[in-house]
Amino acid sequence: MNVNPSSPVAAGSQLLSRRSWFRGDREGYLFVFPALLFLTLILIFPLAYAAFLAFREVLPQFAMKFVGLANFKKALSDPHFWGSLRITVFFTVVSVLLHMVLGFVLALMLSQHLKGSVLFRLLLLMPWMVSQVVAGVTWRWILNAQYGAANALLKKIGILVTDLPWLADVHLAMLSIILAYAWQCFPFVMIMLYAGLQTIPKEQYEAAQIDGASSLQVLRFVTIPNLQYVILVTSLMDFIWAFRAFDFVKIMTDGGPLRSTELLSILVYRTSFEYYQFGYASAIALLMLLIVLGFSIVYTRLVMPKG
Amino acid sequence: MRKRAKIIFLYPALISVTLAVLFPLGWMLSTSLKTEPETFRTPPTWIPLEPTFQPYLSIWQMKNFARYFANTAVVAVSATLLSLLLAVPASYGFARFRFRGARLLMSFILVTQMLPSVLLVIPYFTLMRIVGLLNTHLALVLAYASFSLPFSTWMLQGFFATIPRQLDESAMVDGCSRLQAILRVVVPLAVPGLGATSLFTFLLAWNHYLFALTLATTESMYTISVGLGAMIGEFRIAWNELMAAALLATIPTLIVYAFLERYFVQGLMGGAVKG
Amino acid sequence: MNRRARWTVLLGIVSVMIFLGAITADAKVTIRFQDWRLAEKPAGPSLTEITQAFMKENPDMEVTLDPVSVNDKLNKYVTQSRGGDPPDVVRILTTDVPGFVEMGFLLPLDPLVAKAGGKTFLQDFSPYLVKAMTIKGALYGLPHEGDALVIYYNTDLFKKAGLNPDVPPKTFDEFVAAAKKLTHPAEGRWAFGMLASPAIANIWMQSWFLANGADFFNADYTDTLVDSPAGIEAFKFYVELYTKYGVVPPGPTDVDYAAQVNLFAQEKVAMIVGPYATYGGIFSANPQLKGKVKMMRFPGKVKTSSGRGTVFSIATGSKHAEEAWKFILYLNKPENQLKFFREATMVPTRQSVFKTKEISDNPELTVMLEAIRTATSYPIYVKWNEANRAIVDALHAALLKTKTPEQAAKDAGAAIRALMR
Repeated sequence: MNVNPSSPVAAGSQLLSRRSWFRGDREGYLFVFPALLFLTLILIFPLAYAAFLAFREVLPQFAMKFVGLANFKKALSDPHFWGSLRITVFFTVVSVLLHMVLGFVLALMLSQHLKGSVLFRLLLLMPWMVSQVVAGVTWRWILNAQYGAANALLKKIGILVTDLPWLADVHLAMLSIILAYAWQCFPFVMIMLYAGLQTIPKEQYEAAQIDGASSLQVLRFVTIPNLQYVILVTSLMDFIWAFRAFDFVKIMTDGGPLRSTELLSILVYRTSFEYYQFGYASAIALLMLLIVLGFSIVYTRLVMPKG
Repeated sequence: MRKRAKIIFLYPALISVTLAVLFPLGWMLSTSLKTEPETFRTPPTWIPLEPTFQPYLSIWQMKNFARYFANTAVVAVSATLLSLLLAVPASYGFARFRFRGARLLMSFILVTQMLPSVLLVIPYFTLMRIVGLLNTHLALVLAYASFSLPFSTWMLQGFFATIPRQLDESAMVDGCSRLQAILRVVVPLAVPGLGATSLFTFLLAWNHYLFALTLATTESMYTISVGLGAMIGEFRIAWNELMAAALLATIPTLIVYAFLERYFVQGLMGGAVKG
Repeated sequence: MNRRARWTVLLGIVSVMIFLGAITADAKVTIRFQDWRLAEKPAGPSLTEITQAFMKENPDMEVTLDPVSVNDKLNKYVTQSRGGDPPDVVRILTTDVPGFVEMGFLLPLDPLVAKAGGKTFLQDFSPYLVKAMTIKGALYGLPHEGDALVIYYNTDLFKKAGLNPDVPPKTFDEFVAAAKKLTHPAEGRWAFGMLASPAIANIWMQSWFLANGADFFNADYTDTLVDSPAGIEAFKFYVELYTKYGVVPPGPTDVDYAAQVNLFAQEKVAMIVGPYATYGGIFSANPQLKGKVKMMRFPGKVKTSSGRGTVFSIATGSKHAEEAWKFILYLNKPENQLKFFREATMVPTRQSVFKTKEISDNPELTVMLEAIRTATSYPIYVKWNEANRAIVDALHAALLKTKTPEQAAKDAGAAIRALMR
């Protein structure tokens, strides 16, 4: 603490802080307690129940039987599980990269002290305000091959000659959901990075200018290092949300065509609510949790070794 | 010179991106002002040939729509308040104190985010049934607060960390209890952070679908998103009405955002963006 | 007020509230009614009116409505059933019933039917539906509305293509020949709006199997007929409409119910498959088509098509099964089924209602009534959702040409047999 130890107030506060340090240890628990208790009560039961189910097979008529690791073994040998995993990883990684790049570029643009920046911020944030259900239904309609607005507009502008089967082609469908999901989610990344950009001390930019740095060098040596923490937080949250994306994709493609967009969350949904294999679904969901958790730990260590 | 160059390139770029981003919303608006047959027209008309406010009138006349709005408002506001009530002390605790297992607890809070909600819905329903909270606003409020806690805590914690410790401590030296110090000194400074957290939670609560769908056992408890979902019929979808309803549903979030906008960015600046 | 007094007053207030709650709780019997048709127009208002009339006639009963969305009806019902608080009365698609029965969600209705008149009572309902809802010897749903699938065609486009709209194709070959004449890709018009979006792709396809003498399953659901010779023949014919003859617009795997109606309404396709409700849907989308739309039976060796329907069931956990049954009987009263038909264009399930002039003398309904009389129910198989997936995978694989139709059908057959083990 930058406190002059010779002033009595400072000395007093230092003493106080040292004393409160010891009391503080336990007081910390007190402050954190309500939130933790709340989460425990609300989410631990469902989580525990899911864990409980994962080791069981749900039988007709509300019966159950313990099957140990059978569900997990089944998942690991199930081509649908691996297929969905591959698809989910692809969707998540591409989405997060896309959001970060798009968000960063826009955040930079918005930080250039332009008149009307506030209006742009408001307008660009709108996709995030719309619910996933509405966005999914609207995008589905817009991307329809025969009568959708997308093909109509692109043909009018001249970019397209024939209709593109956005949601009916195996590869285009994945592209479509990535684009539509990016539309919904980039505002969050953009606003986080924008806020981060505002906190970079101007002196650093001025120093770089004096040193004759190019724009690219400024970016690399001033901007991005300062944004390390916000990039970590934003990309991690974005990753977690993208990995378990559900409502949006279910409405747009329902996992099709030919399961090319069957994300893990959709697989879990189907396994539970359509196949009634609640135990197996729980096992898949737990595997999802482990994967995301593992990734988060590794990723955090990589981006910010000090944590 | 540089500035002019910037304007020449930046404005068109920003405007084109904004137009592209607003296109689906514009499409929704256009559709909401069409007659039903016109919504099916191929190629689609951009500006309605026979514009009409009928879809909006129909929605407004649906007596239950106002109720859906009311339910959603109650749930969203309550969830926001509850989330703040829990996140503020927790973030303060994490920011100010170093205690054993703090890292672990923070990670635990984050882990609760990682499970897909399709998995949580049946056990949560069961839990709510056991405690008798089915078909109540409270059930949703509790769920949404728990969904938003991780991010809120994280964000506020970063924010509290930037408020100098000396402030609460000098307040305590002046005779306040820690609680008074927090309320009188720290929280007022943290208003931007609170604004950011509030907006985030409000949005989450307003737009959430799955839990609102399954926890409502009667129509009187439907939220807006559930009402919107129900407008998608098996054999018929009145697109114009659906789009009108969807836009109406988005207005409150826009209003809330407009109010909290300056706090939102400031809050992010102070909070999650600083280590 | 001191602390003690405050607590006493609070306790007093709470006790009074509990007391009031307790005495008002038993005043009315409340049953929950979950039905996605409540959310639809015009079906919703019609059902709501009937419900209100019921409550008027039975002042000791309260029916709370739950107009769930059609896409989430399954999800919501399963969650609430597994979670222990399902709705008392629920509308279910026939294809979902066996799974629910297996999971123990539904109450056998036989004792209640016996009180309502037993066999004579049940005989009034469409046989293919009653048969479908009788699972392991017990009845699990009372049919409310149901019809069969037919092919809607645009008589204008038929005439323009030189086809006689009064003599629709009767065999697969005739169908292909007619389809070729109706297809003009350069003008953005095709013959047949194939629906291959996963949700109902298969039940839309089933009629072609049936018309060819096949089906998805054998009579007692112990084997699949998807890869039987007749099945493969039908499957190949269906797929080749798109892959070989090009009479289907591009992107059939994305065409869902709304999309196919849209295509037909915009006259981009000349034929689509649909139940009776499609008739009204086409005209809401394009009023100018009135008078230009007719129904035809599926061409093929056997004169039959898929019979769909929705039924009312009672949850096993319901505390008011008798009252729920009362409500179901009321909804199914002949005059109410007729009212529902009139207002919501949903075909009734009672033979007595079919006999009323409004229906029997309606020229627009002749083909539909014929189809209903010869209908074969949708698959009523306990693991239908998984089998459905396997067949959709086969359909998509064949349409997207990642597999030959024969191979796709065989793989689907193998997958379904694996399920049956």
